[in-house]
Amino acid sequence: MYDFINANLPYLLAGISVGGQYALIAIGYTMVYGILRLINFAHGDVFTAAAYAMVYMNATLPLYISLPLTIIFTVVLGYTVERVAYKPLRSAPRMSIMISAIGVSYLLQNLMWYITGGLAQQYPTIPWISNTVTILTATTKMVTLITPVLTLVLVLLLVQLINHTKIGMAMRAVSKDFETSRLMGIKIDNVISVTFVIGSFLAAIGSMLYFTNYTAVTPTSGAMPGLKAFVAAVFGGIGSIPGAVIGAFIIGIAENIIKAVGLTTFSDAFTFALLIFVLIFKPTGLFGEVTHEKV
Amino acid sequence: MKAFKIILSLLLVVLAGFLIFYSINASDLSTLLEDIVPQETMQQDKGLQKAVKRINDSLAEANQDKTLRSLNRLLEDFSDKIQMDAEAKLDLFFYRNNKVTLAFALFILILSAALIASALLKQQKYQKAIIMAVLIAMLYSGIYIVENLVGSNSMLMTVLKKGAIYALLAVSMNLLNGFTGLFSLGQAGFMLIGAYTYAIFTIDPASRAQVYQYYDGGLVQFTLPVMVAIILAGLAAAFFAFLIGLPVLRLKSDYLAIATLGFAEIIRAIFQYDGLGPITNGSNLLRKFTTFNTALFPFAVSGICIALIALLINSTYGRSFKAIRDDEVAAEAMGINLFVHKQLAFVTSSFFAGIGGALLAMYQTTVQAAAFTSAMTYEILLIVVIGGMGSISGSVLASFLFVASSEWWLRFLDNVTYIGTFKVPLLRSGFRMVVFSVIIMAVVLFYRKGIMGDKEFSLKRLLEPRKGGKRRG
Amino acid sequence: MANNVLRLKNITMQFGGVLAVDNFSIEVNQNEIVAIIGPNGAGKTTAFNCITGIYPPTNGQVFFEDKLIVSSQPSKKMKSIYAGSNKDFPEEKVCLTPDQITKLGMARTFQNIRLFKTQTVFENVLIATHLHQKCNVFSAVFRLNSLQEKAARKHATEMLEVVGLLDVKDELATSLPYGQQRRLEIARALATKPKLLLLDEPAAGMNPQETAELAQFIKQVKERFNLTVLLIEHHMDLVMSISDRIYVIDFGRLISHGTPQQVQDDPKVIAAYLGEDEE
Repeated sequence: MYDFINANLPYLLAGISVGGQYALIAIGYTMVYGILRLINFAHGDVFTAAAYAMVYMNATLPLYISLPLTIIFTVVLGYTVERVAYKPLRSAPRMSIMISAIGVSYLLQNLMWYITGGLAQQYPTIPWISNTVTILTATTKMVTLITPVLTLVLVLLLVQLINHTKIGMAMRAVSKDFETSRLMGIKIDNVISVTFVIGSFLAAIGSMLYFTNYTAVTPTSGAMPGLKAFVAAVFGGIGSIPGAVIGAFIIGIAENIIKAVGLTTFSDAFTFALLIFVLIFKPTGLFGEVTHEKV
Repeated sequence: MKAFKIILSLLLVVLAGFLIFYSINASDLSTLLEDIVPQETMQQDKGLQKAVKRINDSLAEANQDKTLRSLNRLLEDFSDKIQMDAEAKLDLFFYRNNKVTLAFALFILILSAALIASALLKQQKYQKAIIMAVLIAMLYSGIYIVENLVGSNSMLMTVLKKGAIYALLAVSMNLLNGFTGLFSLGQAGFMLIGAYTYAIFTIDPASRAQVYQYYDGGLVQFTLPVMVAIILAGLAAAFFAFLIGLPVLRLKSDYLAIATLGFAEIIRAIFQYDGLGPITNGSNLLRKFTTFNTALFPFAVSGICIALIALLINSTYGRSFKAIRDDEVAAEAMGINLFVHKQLAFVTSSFFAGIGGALLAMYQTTVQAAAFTSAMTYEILLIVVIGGMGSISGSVLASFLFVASSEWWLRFLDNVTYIGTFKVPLLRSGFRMVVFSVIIMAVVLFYRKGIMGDKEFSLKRLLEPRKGGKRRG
Repeated sequence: MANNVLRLKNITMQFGGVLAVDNFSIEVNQNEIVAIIGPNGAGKTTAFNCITGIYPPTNGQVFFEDKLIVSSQPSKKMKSIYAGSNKDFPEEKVCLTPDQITKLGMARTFQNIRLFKTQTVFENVLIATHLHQKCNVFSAVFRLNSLQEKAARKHATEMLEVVGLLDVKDELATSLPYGQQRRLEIARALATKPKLLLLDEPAAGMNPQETAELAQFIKQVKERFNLTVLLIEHHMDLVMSISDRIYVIDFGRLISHGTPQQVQDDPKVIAAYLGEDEE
């Protein structure tokens, strides 16, 4: 029994840690989908850009400036992407806006490759969270413990915002019925911008935590975590924030259990198999709602 | 008009005759050599004798390339000692450009046949078919001629080969996404299946042990002929598409997109799995399988496949696909079985994606599962969007533009350039792809319909003065 | 000659907590024109959707020419909140898809016009002839079905002629004025060679003259193609002038049934909504 825990604890901890990081990204996906019915393919690349921003800023600025600056940069990036690439297509058929998202993702990846020259960059060590820590018998970084806590705190704050503020109410209204909300005088542009700002903010935090663990940053580093976070959002019920968080933790833990069992090649594939399973048997996910089309 | 056409075609036949006659005549190189190299000069010059001997040796080996090379050297090194009169020059021209001349002659014969047919068969549909036949003949003979003049490895030929392959991939994706309205992102997975199926069954038996070195020579120990392997590649992809389609095609559009994306990733993981190594070589690449050397091959295969897709789209079934795209509920109410038709579109699209994958394998000469990422699917999707969802000619055109831009025309953007001592800013490795992505975004945002929208290329519309109202083209 | 073409038995449709149709039973016989009328949101289109297989009813059965085409009872989850007044749950579970039902001989038009937007007028009707073409993919691709195609085109042309849209056959379907689009939908439904034609508010948005022309048109088409017609309508003059029988539905329940005269005089109907001017 002791040996079992001993062998598997590192994986469990890694799972909870990466699950929290996926959760922070997944919230961005689920909120945007809830409001715009758009799968924001570029979200994973915004996540990667945040990492690069930190790398470059930290090279020339002290931590207490580069950290908030990175967050600001990411938020501005997310906001800009929405204004430039999604807003003009709001009245276009759904496929067009998704293709735009794919185009933005393509552009961001190429831009990052161009600026950085394609070599993997090393993520700077953020003091304290990078410290090594021992739990029972497993050695891991502090970030592994911080992540789930920080994630839950942020999610609680977000849920408070959504349920108890005016802008939160507006967001809920818009995700229920876009057209009617607009007719009722809600400033749609503001609501959408706030959604993207929150999503990007969380992605920035998530990238700081994630890349402290997996320190190599390449233009495609964010693609897989982004995709997995998206699966988490679907699994939990697209449009539901608690669902996305729970889904992300489940995926993070399951992924590491599979690595523990030795089938590392399939740890990624597992996530997709889960996705397909969900889509076929319960397309609305764990907490999602069923909508009817009027004929 | 009729008489004019017939006279013109007879003239063309005569011209073709001349070209063929001279080409065949000029193929006797030894007589030519005797004519241009005087006997006395040859006896005096040892170097000249050696050069002539080299040519005769290559002729004996029947090595065309070597013969041509030795001949060119002779003409360069001993230009002062050779006697060339007009007739010899003409013969020499025909000898060197033998293949090109014959191809050109063939094209002229087809042109003249077309003219005669056009004069005799007056109906619209025949006229259209004739023009189409001529254009196709022009395309293929053009490619052959250019390839022989410019060289198989030149940038132009590279672009043409890759463009032809991407054209097939784009059209197969358009069939599914643009014509049937099924937003599927699984293309890369089916390309992967096709590429691997082809490669596995055409690896040179002598090299199998080396390629599969970590897996004891691999499980498959026989080889199939190229055409069989290509068709098998398509069938394998189609089979998996059928299985995947069973659960997935019931889903709404967004969910279909991510489900197919997910399956593509699963397929990629499976092909990299160590346990299947004896068949797939795990995460190592496959190589030493049969490839092509002339651009005519991918053009021929793509051409036939695209023609088949076009026939499908303009058939009864194609109309049903478009109906499903426009309004699923109404289509079903009019008696169209949604699931059967969606499966048909999905399986057919994947069949051709598999063949495209096989062609891609042949072009790249190595195959590795890790390269078939979702990024590949996105590229093809972007090509389809740029060309116009719902336009076959748009997809073909956009593929060539895409490949030409990314491989060739925009390459200068990657080079560090100086004007005098001033270093032009921004120009360095990677800038090409940035500019390219920006152009794509511009098309997606401002020219959503793409280059051709949902119309096909029509010579008639190009030549006709602008008319408002009617849509047909 | 009163053989039964369509029979609804206890059709009940409940969406979540909302009971849209409750215990709706009707009968339509050969060559009749039967109308379903009722205030907006009374559940008429929902009933149509259950008949044509778009979604299964929560409870009830549909018989077409005495053949059971739809039969369903509430799911376990639904049983706890089931609010229908009829508790007879049929044992069988049959749910044909809309295309299967159309192939049996039932065609419909839609309340919100659903034409194929990127296709021309002719193509819209042509697509509705596919269900009668028996050919597989290969014969279609290699044009081995050219005879069937020719016959289909001829039939489509005939349908366009019947509705008077032959001269605009190459125009884009959505470029037609509203009234013509409605006629096109009818032509399209007719092209499937139905025995029973379901019309969902065919006169919506038409002025009195157009409505009168439509009434005549429906009668002519019924005679010419030996059809049975079931229609949903708000325009009372259309309904009263051509219907053999009328069913009145309000809040999902049948409140009256009979000939136009009987229904007009029924105080329940007058109370529900008759007397208020139609659009």
